[in-house]
Amino acid sequence: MMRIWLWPVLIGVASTLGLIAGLVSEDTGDWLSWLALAAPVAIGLHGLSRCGARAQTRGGALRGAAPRRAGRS
Amino acid sequence: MQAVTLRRWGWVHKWSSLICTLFILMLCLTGLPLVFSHEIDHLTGNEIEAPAMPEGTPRAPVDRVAAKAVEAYPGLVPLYFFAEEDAPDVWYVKLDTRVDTDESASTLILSDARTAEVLGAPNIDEGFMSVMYRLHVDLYAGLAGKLFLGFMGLLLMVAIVSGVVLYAPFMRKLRFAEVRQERTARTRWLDLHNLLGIVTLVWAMAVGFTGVINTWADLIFQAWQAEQVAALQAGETRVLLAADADDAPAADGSLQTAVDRVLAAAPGMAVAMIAYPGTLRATPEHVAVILRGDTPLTSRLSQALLVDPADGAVLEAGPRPWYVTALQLSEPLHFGDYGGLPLKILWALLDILTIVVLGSGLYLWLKRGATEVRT
Repeated sequence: MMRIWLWPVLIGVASTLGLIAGLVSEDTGDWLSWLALAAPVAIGLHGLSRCGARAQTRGGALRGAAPRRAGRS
Repeated sequence: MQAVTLRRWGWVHKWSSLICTLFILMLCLTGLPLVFSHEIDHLTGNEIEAPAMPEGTPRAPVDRVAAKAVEAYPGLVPLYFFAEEDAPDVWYVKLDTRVDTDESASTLILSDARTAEVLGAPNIDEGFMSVMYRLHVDLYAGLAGKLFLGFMGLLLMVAIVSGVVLYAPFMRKLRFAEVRQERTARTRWLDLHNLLGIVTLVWAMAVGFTGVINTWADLIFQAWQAEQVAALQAGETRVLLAADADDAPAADGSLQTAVDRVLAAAPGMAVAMIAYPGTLRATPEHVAVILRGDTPLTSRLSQALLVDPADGAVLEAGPRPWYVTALQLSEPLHFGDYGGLPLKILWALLDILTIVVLGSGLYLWLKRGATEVRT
């Protein structure tokens, strides 16, 4: 339970604080809201980009996408 | 979780999502440019600005602004004056054929607060942004459209809550943010749907629910007006400035003096809006002056005072009801316009992530029954 919910709860709390901070305070609040709301955005975009990297290798016959950095030099 | 309970939640998630997905997708897509409407107006030259004048140029009486507006738009009457916090030299003036219309065909113009000259009318009835706005707000169907979209928003709330319930059983064998790469495309999108859904959860709930509240704005103002009128009739008003008070300009029937008397009764506040008698935001006999404070919160949570232009008495018809407070807090939380450009960009990115959640949800449903490739 703890393992599953720890991160979602942390991100949820950060998002909530981020949404409220900018409303109640001008400068500090704005910075807080940017930082706090950047967390879900960063994690989401990271997940999306990894998925995009995988999707570039078309065809289910290919076993596992070669990671991008594994370019033959 | 019991298998049968899980199946029920799955059913709730599937149907609440399916019914609202296309509408919510449309709302996310049309909302994207709306987040930046201010910037887009600025870039496309659609922004009307007041000419620069020396600091401290005196402001014209609002009566003269109203007269000039009516001169430019014969046959119309003024309903409201709005003032934006960051554009003190401009009055937005809303005009219509009568004070008690539903405002669906009203005219909004900008007037110079110092010269009373009409600066122009923002092009809100045509063009790309207008289409985005109408689709987003009421589907060109007035109040019925608003309430319909509000209902879709409520279904989204159900979809989000049921999605959260389903999150745990799906994640039993997975680490947080794990997207299984070696499986089928459907598995990958399922993991991504769960990940993006759970990280955007709070934002989507906040923006979704405040959007629902915004669809009830007309009803909320109607209720508030009825409450204020009832308080006035029952004599339950608080007099902030008596008609014969000698520490304020004497009433002379003009709107400007009425506004000045309100400001005298509420030191430290600024005018956000002036509503003519008979409009939705005032009462049949009084001018309503909506005031805002200067902190981020009090600039949102306005105070509404009533003033009788004839005798100049300034009244407060009871404190702001909770449902008006809810609406006023809902506006910034829906628009994302309270933290500068960085917050707008975050709003847009969260919106895009939500679009991916909706799109992947639809894809998962279309590909349902596709069996996993054995690995």
